[in-house]
Amino acid sequence: MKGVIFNIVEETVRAEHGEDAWDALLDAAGLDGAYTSLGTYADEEMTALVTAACAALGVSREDLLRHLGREGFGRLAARNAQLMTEFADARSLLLGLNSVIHPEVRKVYPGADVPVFDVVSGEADHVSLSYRSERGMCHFAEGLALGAGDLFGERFTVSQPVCQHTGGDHCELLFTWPATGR
Amino acid sequence: MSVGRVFAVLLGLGVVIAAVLLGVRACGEPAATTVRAVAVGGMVCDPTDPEFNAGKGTARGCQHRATSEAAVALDPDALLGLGDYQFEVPAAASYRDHYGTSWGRLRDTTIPALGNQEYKVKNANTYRDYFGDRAAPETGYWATDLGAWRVVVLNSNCTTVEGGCAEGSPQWRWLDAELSGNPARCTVALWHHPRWSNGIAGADARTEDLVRLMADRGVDIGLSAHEADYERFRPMDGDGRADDAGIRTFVVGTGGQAVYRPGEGDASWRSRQTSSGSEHFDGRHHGFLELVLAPGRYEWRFHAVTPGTSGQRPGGGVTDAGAAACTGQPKHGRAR
Repeated sequence: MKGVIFNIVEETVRAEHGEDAWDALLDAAGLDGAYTSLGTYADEEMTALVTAACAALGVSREDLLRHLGREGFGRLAARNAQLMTEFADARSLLLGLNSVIHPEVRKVYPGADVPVFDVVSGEADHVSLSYRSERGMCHFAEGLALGAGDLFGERFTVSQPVCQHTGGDHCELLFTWPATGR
Repeated sequence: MSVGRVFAVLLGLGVVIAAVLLGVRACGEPAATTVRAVAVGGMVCDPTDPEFNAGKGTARGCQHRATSEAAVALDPDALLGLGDYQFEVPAAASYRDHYGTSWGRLRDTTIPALGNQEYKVKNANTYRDYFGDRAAPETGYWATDLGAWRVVVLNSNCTTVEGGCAEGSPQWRWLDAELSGNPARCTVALWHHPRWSNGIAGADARTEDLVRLMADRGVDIGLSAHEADYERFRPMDGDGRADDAGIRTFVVGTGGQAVYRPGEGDASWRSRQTSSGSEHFDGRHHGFLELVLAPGRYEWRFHAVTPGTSGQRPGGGVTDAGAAACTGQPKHGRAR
């Protein structure tokens, strides 16, 4: 996993729980925590951080990942403000994940192993994406999408009718916009 | 003095005066010269990149020093900069210490187009500070002369440039006027995001109207980067159909930061975005495009740069080359 993901998690932890919270979390996870945005680190380190944070906060892994993704999106967007201008709304951003966002991620962060999002369906009121990644961070992806909604001032619901954590071979993320919500 | 002798003297004076005037005129006009340019984008790694290796790079990336070394050795008359000069964040210190000591050796002859990395800093300020009077005006589009050729620089950051890139936008209207003023010249255009590509991002329609205008109006060469690969397309019209009188486009995003080729995971979504007309694709080598721009014709050579092993100079060689005549005249007086 690229260090930039660790960076946005660190920024969220420091912002919400104080400057010392990140060091405490690293200690709890047994990590030294020197993450540079362009570095590549073992997925297990993120797993250890999330596990330690869930224990400290008393929240589920799914809820924590969703929250970290939602908060993290804004931080990623701030680092790539010009890239965000290429999208008119959250829907166009979701549909541009493979063709715009991830090529840019792979260019700027060489070696990034980005997940593949295939468009299952895309209609005016909903978008359905299949998420395939060995990391299985479906809820982090869900949070990132909600963060995109925050960026564009949109509210939509997200569900996972198929999830690899409940027996599926992938996750399907279904985004549904209310008729008056866009 | 006889009338005949006076006439002869006057005639002689006239010949001398005419010769002097013609001579002055001949000296006053710029000679039609052939120039050598190198074109490239996607250049310098961030110093925190794991492949940076004190600026020397590794076999996997950060080959800006070796690539620029080979380009500098050609002693080019100009560097046609295709954007994305300094990654990850184009900080002033990185421009000074890393871009400046590699590709920046050609700064004083660089004609730089704006990439998207430059806009990671507000208003691309560090780019403007570094390139100074070499940089684009605020709009990011302008034109200049290079030997016998006209160089047109466009800003393909279409959501940033005022009015965008579509037909009728300020940039499109400026390009229309620019090409109208130079209808019969050989013209090379540079912008960052390639209209046609088979790299990991694929074809990009944001410059569709600008490229159609250029193809219709006889622009000979289009140069872009953004993708971390090298690709050459046959001359095509604005719709991407083969057209010997169309625009020949190159993608040259191989200036050292990274090189990529699409993987299996890209196949499902890229099948909708592949570009026809590709005649050469290289997603394995860093390198740059050499252009010899002569009156009425041009040559191209892609110089692939192979990283040197410890204690050895980098190697490589020309892996794609060709030559063509300028298309000469616009196909249409006015674009559609």
